Amino acid sequence: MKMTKLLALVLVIALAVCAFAACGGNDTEEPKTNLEGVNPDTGDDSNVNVDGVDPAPVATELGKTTLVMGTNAEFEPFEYRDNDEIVGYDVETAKAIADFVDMDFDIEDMAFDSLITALNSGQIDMVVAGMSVTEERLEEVNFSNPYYRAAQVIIVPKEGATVASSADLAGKKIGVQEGTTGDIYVEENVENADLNRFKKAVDAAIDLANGRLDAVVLDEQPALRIVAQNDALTVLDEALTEEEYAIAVRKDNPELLNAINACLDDLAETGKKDELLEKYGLSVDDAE
Amino acid sequence: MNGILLWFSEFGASFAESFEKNLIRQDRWLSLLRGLGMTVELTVGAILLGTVLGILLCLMKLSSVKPLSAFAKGYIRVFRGTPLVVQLLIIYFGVFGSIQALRFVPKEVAAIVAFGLNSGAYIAELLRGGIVSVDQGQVEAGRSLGLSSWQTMRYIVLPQGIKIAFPTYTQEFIVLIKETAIAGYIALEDLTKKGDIIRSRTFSPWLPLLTVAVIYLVITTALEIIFGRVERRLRESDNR
Amino acid sequence: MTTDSIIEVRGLVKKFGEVEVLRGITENVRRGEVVAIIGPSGSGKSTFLRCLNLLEQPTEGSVIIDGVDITDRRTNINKLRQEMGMVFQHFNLFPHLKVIDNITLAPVKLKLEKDKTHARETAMRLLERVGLGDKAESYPVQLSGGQKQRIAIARALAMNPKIMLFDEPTSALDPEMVGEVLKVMADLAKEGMTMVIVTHEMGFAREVADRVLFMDGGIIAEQGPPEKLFSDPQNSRTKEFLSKVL
Repeated sequence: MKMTKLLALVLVIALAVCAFAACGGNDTEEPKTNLEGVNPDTGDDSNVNVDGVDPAPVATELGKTTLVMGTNAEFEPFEYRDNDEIVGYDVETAKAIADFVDMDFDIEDMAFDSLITALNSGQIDMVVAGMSVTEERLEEVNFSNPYYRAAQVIIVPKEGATVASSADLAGKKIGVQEGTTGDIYVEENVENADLNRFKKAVDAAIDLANGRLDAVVLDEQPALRIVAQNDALTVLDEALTEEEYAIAVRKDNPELLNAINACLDDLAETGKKDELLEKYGLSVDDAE
Repeated sequence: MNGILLWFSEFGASFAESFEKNLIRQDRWLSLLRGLGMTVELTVGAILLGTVLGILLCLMKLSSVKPLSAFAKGYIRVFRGTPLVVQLLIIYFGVFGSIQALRFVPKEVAAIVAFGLNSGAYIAELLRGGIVSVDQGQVEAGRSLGLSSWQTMRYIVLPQGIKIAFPTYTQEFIVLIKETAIAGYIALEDLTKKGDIIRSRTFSPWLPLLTVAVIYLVITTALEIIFGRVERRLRESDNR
Repeated sequence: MTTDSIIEVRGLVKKFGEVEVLRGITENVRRGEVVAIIGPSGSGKSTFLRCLNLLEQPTEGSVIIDGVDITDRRTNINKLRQEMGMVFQHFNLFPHLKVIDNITLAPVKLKLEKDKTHARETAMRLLERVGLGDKAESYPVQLSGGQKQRIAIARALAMNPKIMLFDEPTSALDPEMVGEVLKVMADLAKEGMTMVIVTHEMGFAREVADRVLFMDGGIIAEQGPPEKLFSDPQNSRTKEFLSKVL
């Protein structure tokens, strides 16, 4: 009897702690009043770039000198590992943003489904991870202007495929990367799917290649890279969704958001963006 | 005073909102329950496999037949000396993935095998601990009556050794419940993974995982209580 | 060698590593004889006794029980041990089994008895004989030391042995319980059981034993009928030992 009461107590305490933290989490990220952040340089325009955005307040807004990019480096060609180094289109873009706001740069590589949580708890400052803009995500974070048009596609085995179009997906064994738009698409649009959520898209592809799955739903570009490295797999032509990649920032970081948009424009205007697209084998047509 | 009240009302509202979003909306609590079902399935499957394997390995290790004891020793070293996650990945992607006959075995079977193989190593050692702490005089008494070494083990040493090992064995069961939380690595949707999926949808850093934690806590605490009772009963039969 | 020797020991040597505990023992025990082994601690008494049923493996020499060389590898030692009951200093009852099951375990598992019912009947008879008929359903932990040892004797007798070995059966008992155990042993001797007893109970040895062996330093230093050995020891070590214990 005593034990039951104790259990109830433990439960209540745990839930209370959790709720406290849940609401506290939002409070801690309230916009910082810019009292000490008044930039003495703003007066003389010396630090203002061509787009008329002064980058200096970003460091003040964030209260630190290093800009931390959060990503999931399993998403070639946007972010992936070349040996131990994280490289890719998104990485170079993010580096350009850090230069643009005159801050040091760092990368945190984590599970894709943890990125927004990490952003809102302050572990990272921006998510540059081929992340598509969705309404659910917009409730939690702000997105920059989109920088790439993307789509979810279906990967199937070249031989003996049981899926030839999205209509065939119902009731099949489908692999996705947890928390991606592909995961959400299958969950919401495919009936009776046997959904297998992996932390890494590559692990889903492995299970597809050895016949345990019927199809994998994944973003187009990484899907193309995966099948390029695996002779047994191919990508269906059909696009399941129309999506746009953008950079996510906390809602209380308007300065950072402005600076990112300005930097993206800058990259486009100076031709740097086309260079990057070409370098990473991305289509200029899909860039925005 | 006012501030505290205000804090409580804000706290209450925000808690209610988070609760609705993470647990009620889209029947997410039901999803957690299904995850719990998977956790229980994995744990029970693994403890059964691990127990059978553990008894075999323990007897092999105690055996005077050199190859048997050497095998058991090696097995226990490997499975206790490497991370369970690594074992799970090797068994799922490697062993089950590359052997044609095993490839289409359901994932949970692969996971149960991985957890069971690992648990077998630990159970073998805790059983051995129980057995070697049985007084040598018991063996001598058995042998002097003409019982074979196997009969002595089976009827005299094992029953006592198992009793001694029981508390550690129940700990292994509880450890196993928590260890199955890595099943998500092979896209199995156990309790932890379900919480994680909710988190990936709601982006709430606290409520989904804390709910999961509380469920684990309730289960492990309940088991501790039950096992504690059983242990007491076992001891009482000694002191009657 | 007399034909009615039931135990024949030839040149028995036992070493534990470098330590020579038994240094060449040759001795016979006749059928129905009661032999007490006395001597200071560390003299090898217990080791000698344990070599008789191979709880210790002799390093050299042979032990022949009822015509069978038990040190021969081909001998079925389990079968032979059934014919030799052993009683230990610390009883070694099986704590997880009731008294009755302690007694019936081996006869049932070794198919000495037709079935469990017969085994229980035999066990009850033996319990009555050691005066503990009412303890059949008890667990060992509920019994006194003296009761435990009497159960241990009953357990050994349930195998219907030809020989009974006793390894200091009263040493772990409170003084007031020694008597009840010795009484059971004396009865057994009277019925003609062959017994080898390692003991510190000189009075008992004198009264019940047909022959007393005095062991010292891994050999039998002196032996003879109790009245002679106790009252007129020849060996100086025997004299010294007896002067301390008597």
